[in-house]
Amino acid sequence: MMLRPLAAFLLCFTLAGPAMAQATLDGTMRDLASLRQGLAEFSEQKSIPELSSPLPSTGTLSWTAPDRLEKHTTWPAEETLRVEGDRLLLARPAQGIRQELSLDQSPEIRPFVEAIRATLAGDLATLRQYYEVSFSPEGEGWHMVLTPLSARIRVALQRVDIYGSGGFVRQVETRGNDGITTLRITPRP
Amino acid sequence: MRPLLLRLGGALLVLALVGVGLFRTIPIRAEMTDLLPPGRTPAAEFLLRELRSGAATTLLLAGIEGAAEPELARISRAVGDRLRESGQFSFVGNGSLDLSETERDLIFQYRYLLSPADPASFEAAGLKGKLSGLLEGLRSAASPLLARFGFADPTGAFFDLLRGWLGQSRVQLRAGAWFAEGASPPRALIVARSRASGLDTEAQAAAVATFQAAFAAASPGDARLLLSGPGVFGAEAAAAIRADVEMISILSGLLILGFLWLRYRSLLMLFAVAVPLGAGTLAGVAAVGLGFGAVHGAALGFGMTMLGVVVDYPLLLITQRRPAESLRDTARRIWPTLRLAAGAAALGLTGMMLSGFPILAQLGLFGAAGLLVGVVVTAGLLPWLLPGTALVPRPLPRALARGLGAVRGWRWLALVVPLAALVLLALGGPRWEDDLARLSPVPPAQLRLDEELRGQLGAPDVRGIVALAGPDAEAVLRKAEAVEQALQPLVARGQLGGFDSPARYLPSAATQRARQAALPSADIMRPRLQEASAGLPFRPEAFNRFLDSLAESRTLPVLTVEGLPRLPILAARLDPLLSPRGDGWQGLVIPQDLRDIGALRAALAGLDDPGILWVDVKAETQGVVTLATRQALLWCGLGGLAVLLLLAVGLRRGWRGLPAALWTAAPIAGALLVTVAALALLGQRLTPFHLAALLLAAGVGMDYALFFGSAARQGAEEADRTLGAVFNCTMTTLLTFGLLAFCATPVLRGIGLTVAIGVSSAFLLALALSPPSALAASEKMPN
Repeated sequence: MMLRPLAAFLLCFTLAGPAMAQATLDGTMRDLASLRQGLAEFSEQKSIPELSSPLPSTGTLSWTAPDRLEKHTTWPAEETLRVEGDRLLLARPAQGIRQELSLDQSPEIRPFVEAIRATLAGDLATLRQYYEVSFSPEGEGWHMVLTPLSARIRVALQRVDIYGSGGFVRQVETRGNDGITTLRITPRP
Repeated sequence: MRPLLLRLGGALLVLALVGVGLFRTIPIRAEMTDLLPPGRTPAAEFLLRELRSGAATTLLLAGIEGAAEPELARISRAVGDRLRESGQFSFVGNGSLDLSETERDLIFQYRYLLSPADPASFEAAGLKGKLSGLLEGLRSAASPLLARFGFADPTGAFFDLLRGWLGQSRVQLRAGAWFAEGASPPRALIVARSRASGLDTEAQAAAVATFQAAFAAASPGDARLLLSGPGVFGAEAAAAIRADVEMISILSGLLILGFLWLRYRSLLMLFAVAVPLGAGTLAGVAAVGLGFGAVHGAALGFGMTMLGVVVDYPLLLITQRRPAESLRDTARRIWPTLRLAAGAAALGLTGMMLSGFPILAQLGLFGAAGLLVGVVVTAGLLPWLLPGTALVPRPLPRALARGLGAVRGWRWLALVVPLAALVLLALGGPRWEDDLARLSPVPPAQLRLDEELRGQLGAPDVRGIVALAGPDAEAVLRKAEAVEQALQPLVARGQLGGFDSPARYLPSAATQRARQAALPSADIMRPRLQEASAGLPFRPEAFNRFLDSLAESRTLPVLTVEGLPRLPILAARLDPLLSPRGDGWQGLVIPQDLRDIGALRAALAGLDDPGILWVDVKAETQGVVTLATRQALLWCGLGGLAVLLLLAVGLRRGWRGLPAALWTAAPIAGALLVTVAALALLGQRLTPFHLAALLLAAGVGMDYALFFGSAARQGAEEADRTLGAVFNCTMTTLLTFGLLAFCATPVLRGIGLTVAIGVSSAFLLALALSPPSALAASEKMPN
């Protein structure tokens, strides 16, 4: 029958498809931009040089295009970090801390935010406003390295490594004066 | 006719030239604070000085509303950036506080000298809590910030300092801009402090203009800018006074011209009136310029209006000329009365000169000089300018003439005086103004806006201020620290909410040195740190930067006011609370939410330092006005007595002069009583300005009584002529002062009402009480 080889061919094509079309920066940005909303769990490890052991934490991340990102830490202490538009809100209910600030007026904080937010939004122009962006396909996914353009920022933040596949970000690794922070993201089933 | 016009025109031209010269040489001031009374106690003096040139005078408060919140925030930021760029402001607050990197580093370097932290935070037990807190912070999203400062400052002195300086703010930070809490519709808030002195009204006005330009440049769309602050007040008040004065001078000028035309139908008359008026005005300007070095705009405007009274003299002279009498003879005939009238009015005004109010003193001098020169020019120059000219007024309309004739000698009218006394009694006497704010020419709507913005910015009305004085900044800062220590127990007991003090921002050098001496050395600190971090994941070398900075802090040269230029944000906070004054320095400790004034007074009295002064703002402002009013009342009374004496002498009746003087003064005294009762009925609170206006009304009324009296002795025809002349005078006075009553400026409105009521009642009473002439008496017979 003609059908079997055709089916095998099709199957072969679908399996090989992703591997054959290597990730590109523009394509990845388009994939990222197409994801309008997302909810994921994260686990984070902070390795601070002055500390003998890393500090772990877990919680959830939620993203709503074009610019709302919320990082809700549930363990070991409750914390909400929310950016929306120009505003950043940091709340730690246990300490009674609730701080709000304008990103436009906080040029030292904005690059930290945009590294993740502009990536999730697939907004390459904004990324390039603050970072030199280098991109490479890696295995089935991609690896993007962000290096701050401003020397002043590089004092606090040396580089950000972002790993993902397709339109999904799997891991963000930040090297700054508070050491290396690794954020692993798993989509909610 | 023509040569006469030329002659009068020539005289006016000469006056105009002199006027141009005068206004070129004598500066005109517009300081609103000249409207303030003088202070007579140290606390009142302090308060008035603060009102004139204090920190509050350089502050601009702004609200922006009329758009959505993000748009308002954008405008606020754009305005803020532009204001900072302008360099005209020492401080602009509209959102989060941005310390420059150099200032932040400097404050960080000096953290242990500036911070009032308990020395116990350097003990192992205190440190333990701090280290757990640091670890907690490192887990949070703020970890980059904490990693940067926390290991070098585990006690948290730096962040505590910044929090303390920023604290107590009532504003809400939304979209990166300050917003009024709970305001609906939303209102963005901006505070700016201009660099220029509060005394420099021009620079303050320039700062206001810069603010408005910055707003316009921020493409605000439908959003509105609400601006307040003394700089705005000054401009608004000056504009209000200017508008009033312009309105009055133009309108009253036209009305008087119209009235004179109606009565005399002669261009010559208008010129003849203008000559003494012009000469009087110039004399007033010259006298004030000589006496005070400058003329206040309000004194000029109001003084010119006041000198409208000078119009009376040519009117009296020309109208009282008998048929076939030369003007020179008329002048000679009425000179004794005219001289007495002008002398009495000028003497009455000297009370104003001694009142102590700068503006009243200027007005008094302006008026007295103007009146005297006006009368001399009338009697001496006019007959020469108008030889042999007959200017005859048109007869009064019949109905009016009959009405006035009926009033003449109608003694029953005097009953209005006891009636007024009864009204006053029933109202519980006249009401005196005790609120300084109500003397202000600032429009009430502007004052309401200011109060609202102040409340929203968390700067509620202060009940009082602790004023500190010392030879140098260090001495003042030490006093501030002593006051802080004395007030701390009150805060603990809840008698006081808190306080702001210059030493909170810059401790005295003595305190900084004491803190340096109390700092533990690195060797002492190391084992304590080890003990405190037991069980916590800090590496042994984690706090090396802290140990280094302890050693550095112990040897730093202390921070003093000389170092402030390097710390612009800190200096901006400190500036209103600590400043050089004259030879020495002045500091302010501002209690907040004061609940027990007695406890505060007792605590300050315990310090027993003459350089520490408690200023009860409300009590002092009331006291200042009350005292000034009482003083003005005293001088007015003395002025009145002096006028009586002058009359007694002037009426040339020897020892019997006094009863005659009293008889002449009686209608005036009655008119004053009627005026005060009428003002009370109208709900006016009496201020020193009302008293001055009463004096003026009395002086003008005195003319009427004198002329009615002297005319009555010269027969019916003379009496009628005089009635016409005095009626014309009253009308011209009413036309000017009646207009003042429509002014927006409270002070001018009060003066206008007072003079208008006073002059009309003086006219009617003087007419009613005038000695009956033969004809008038016969006319009265049929009744």
